[in-house]
Amino acid sequence: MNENPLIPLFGYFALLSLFAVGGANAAIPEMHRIAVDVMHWMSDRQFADSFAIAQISPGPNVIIVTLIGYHVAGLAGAAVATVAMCGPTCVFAFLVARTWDRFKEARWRIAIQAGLVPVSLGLIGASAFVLARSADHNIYAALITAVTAIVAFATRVNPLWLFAVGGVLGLSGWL
Amino acid sequence: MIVFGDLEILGRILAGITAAAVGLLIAVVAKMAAPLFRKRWDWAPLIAIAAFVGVAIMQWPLPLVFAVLAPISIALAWIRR
Repeated sequence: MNENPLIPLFGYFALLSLFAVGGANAAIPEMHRIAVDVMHWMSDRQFADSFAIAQISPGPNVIIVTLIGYHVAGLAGAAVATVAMCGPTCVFAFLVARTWDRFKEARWRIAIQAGLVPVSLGLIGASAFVLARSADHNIYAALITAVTAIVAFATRVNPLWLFAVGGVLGLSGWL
Repeated sequence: MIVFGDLEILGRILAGITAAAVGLLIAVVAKMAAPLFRKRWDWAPLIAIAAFVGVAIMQWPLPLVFAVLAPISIALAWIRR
């Protein structure tokens, strides 16, 4: 990594932001592919931890991008990655919002929305898969993931409690 | 620069939180999938599975998978409304 990492950082995230339909969580496999497999910016474990920190932090999940940027190139990296991920989408949303609203009843708009739902679902599912492979290196971690998934699906318990339980179990040192 | 997970104890706690965070994401996916797989237009589950396999299993780039599946999915939604 002898070249300035800010340039690929900006390029990758600006491109990614245009395809992140379904939110930052739909784009996680691509972030993982770039940050871990292609650019070797961080390890599997560091990537999974960044995701977790983005999840427990207040604010949008997209701050995983900020954390990756910070990891790669400090504060400048954090700023560049965040702007790249949010900038193009903001401009796009600003430009289409009015038109989109006007065609609320239009058949093409309904088709676009209905058509994108299953794509997003598949992408977020892929995120869960990629993260589980990065995070759950042994049976205990996999168990925490499985139990958390079941509890969160079946009940309305506040996710912060699940994070707390996971953290305490992690402290045991089994993971 | 502090790297996440460097400090021994914080690293352990974080490992537990990360495992739980992945579980929560799985629950979100399950909640999203439930209505889609129950009714709606019948192609939806196939599109979702194709997106999952393309990105998670085949590890194809997201822009590629999206560029192929989104138009197909939108076209199917248009036809089957």
